[in-house]
Amino acid sequence: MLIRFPQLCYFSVLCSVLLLTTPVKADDPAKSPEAIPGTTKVDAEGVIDLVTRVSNLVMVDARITADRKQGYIEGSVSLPDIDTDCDSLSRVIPEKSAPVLFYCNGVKCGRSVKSVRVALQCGYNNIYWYRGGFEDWQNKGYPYIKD
Amino acid sequence: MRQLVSFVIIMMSVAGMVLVLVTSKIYVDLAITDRETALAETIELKTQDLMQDLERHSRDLGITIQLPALFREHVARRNIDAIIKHLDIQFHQYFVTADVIKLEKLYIYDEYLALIAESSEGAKDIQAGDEVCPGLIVRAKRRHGPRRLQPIAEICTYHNMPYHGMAVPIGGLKISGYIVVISNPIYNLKQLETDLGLPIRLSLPQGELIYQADNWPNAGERDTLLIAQYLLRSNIFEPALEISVAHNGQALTTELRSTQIVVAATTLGIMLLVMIAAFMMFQALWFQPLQKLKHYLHAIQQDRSRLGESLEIVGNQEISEIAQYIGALGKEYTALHHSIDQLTYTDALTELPNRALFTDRLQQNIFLCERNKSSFALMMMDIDRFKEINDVLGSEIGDKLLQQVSQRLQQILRKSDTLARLTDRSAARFASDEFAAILPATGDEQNAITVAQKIQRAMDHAYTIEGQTVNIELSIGIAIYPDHGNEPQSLLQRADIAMYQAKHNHQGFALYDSSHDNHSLSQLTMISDLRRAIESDGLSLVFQPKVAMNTSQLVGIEALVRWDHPERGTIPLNSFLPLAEHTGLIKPLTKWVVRQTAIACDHLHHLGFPIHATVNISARNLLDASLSETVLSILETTGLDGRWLYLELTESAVMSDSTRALRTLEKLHAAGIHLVIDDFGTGHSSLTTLKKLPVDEIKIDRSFVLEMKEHNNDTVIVRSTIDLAHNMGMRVTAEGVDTEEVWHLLKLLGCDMAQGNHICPAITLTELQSWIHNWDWGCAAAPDHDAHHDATQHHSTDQEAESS
Repeated sequence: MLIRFPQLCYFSVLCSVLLLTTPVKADDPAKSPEAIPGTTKVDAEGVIDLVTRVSNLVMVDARITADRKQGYIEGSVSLPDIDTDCDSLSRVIPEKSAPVLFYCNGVKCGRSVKSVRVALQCGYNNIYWYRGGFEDWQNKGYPYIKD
Repeated sequence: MRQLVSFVIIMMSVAGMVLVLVTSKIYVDLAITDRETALAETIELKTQDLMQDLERHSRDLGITIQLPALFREHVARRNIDAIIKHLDIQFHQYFVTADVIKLEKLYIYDEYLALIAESSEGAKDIQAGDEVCPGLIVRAKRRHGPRRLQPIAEICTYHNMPYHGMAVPIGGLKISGYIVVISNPIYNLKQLETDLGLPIRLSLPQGELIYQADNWPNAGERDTLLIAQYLLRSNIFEPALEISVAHNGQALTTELRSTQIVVAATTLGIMLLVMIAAFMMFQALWFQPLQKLKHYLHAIQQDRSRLGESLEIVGNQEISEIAQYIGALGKEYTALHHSIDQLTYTDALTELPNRALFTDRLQQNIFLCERNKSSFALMMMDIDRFKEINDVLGSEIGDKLLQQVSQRLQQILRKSDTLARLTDRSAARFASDEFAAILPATGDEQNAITVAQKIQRAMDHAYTIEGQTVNIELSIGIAIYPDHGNEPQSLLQRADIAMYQAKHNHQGFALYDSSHDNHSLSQLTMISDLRRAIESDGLSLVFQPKVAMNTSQLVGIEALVRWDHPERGTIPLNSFLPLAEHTGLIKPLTKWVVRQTAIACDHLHHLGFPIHATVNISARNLLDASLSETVLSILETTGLDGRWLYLELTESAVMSDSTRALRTLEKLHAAGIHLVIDDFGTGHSSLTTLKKLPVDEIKIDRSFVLEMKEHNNDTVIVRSTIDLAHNMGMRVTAEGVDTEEVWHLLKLLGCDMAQGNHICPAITLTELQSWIHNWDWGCAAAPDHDAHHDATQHHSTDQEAESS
């Protein structure tokens, strides 16, 4: 039986869609999971507390650049999820045990989740996750800065 | 009742109406209050929205101001001039120029909330160096931890003007200071006007007016307005601004009022319907049946004859039942009424009209004939000797006879004739043998006579009652209207006179003849006079002495009653005796005579004359069962011994009812009373009967004695009678001894006693006393009891021995 090229492409796309959508479906396609195993979830006040208390905290903004231009939490470094891997992580985080916090736009944003999972895979073991993200930050009236 | 029920229904309807009006008024007020509350809530929500917008815009401005890193550096270095310059620029930036907010002042504070700089631009009212919202700073200072990173806002008042202050931290997580944005909230709140489309009014809590819309209503228009208010409070809940919104309530009020009117009208309509329905229901169930009942009862009251009519009432059950009860009672009452009518107007025995109804019919006939110029005949009928039949055969047979007579009469008379038995309700117990008839179609005398003859013929046939055959004769009197009278009483009286005439003459019937009128009338008058005379001792007694023939001694007297009428003089016994017998006055008359005779006899005894007294007794007296009691009672009261009393009676009297007479006579005889047969020889004597009777003496009729001398036959009769009497142990008295020859003849024939004019005519008691003194034939004055005895001793019988 001959399998023609266009048919092969269609089959591949279908399989990819199925593969990509399956895990999201397991949690919630619209919302981030409530918690990510191996990480510590924090709220806005937790973020401020960490910033105040932990001097070597690395705050990673997992959003794409266009989103970051609307404003960001002071002290955070931009590392969009799409650019996140063990290599890029190692450039912003000095060592695997260093405290690191990920956030993105909010509960509907999957970027910080994705970045956290990558970091976990890369062996980072002191990960904080701000699930509410920038939306929650803004809503609570905490200061942010724009470039 | 109708008025009362109507009143109650109307009052209930009015109460319902008032209730509805009051309720609708309350609902109108509630609706207006609700509308005001709803409006107030709308204002609150809208105001909060506007204030949130203002807060957001103020914060965004605060963030925008600090965006340039250079500015942040100026702040960090406290480069005041540069800061002021940067602040002033903001008054010409987007937020202000686009009228998002009305910026009044900008302040910069350090991280410890100490004032560093303020904009030189801004509201002129705000003095340089003044802090418009010092309270805001105080509140900001009190915050700790992450909350210090948050912006803080407040409504504050400065120089009687409300301001909105917003403190925004400068920097990110590390604060280098605060920007305080002061703006005018009035500017934003005016948006309410546009949003709500209603005029607004803003004032301070103290009442000072800050803003009022151009179209805010005048005081005069306020009556129809709804004013909703909302008090805007600061973050520390102090009243900051009073927001009023005027809403034209005219439409609402009008709508509510019209709804109210519709509701009231509908209610009124329903009430009217309910009232009409209630009235109709009451009308059908109560009023109409009651009305019908009332009319029925009224009709009955007007005309009793309608009492038995049935009454159908449909409606209320109770009333129907009452109607039924009344109907039942009515029927009962009708039956009762009918029986009372029967009792009042009919004779129970014959079921013929009685005297009352007959008199009424008579009057009706008179009226009718008066109008028609016609005539009618009135008949009075009387059964001859009915009293005797009644007494002899008993009232039961008498009653049956009356019934049969009435039946025969009815058969002869026409249906249009009125036949009545003349009984009076009050005297129903007395058997009346009088019948009367009105014969309207029998106008002339000849026709009336023909009818009377027919009746007579019908009476010829004997009646058979309980096996007994009774023959009667009817005396009929006829009077013709208008010839013999034109009113009931005179016609009745004249028919009565004619009847007596017929009876008297044994004609059977008689037509009224005016020539008999006076006589008849005088008879009627005499009856009442006689009654009065008996009752008031208007009569007197005369006595005829009776002497023994062999000794010529006075042995007795015969009492004869005399009536000296005050107007007519002395009335002979023959004239009033039949009257007394016919009217029943014989009974009191006899009683009177017996009493007076007994008194007289006793009187003579006291004077020393031991003689007996004889009283004549009518045949009618013998029919009276109480005769013996009456006589004995008189003897007892007067103290006269029975043996001194002699009762005289005619042969026919004894023979007519021998059994009853015998019983009465035996009772009297047992009391010592002597019995004498008067007028012996003129009647039909039965020797058998005579033998049975306790008779002591026989009186030979004067007709034989008077003519004894002329006719030898009479002498033979007298002799035979004397012999017969003596043989039967009786004594004989001869009456009518008017001459000495007769006296001697009788003496020869052996007659025991005599009385007559030859001896002495009938005289008064006083005269008798002197006569006795002067009587010398046989030393009659000797007051010797034995003398009397001696005078009769040769006729001594057992009875005589008893009487002695």
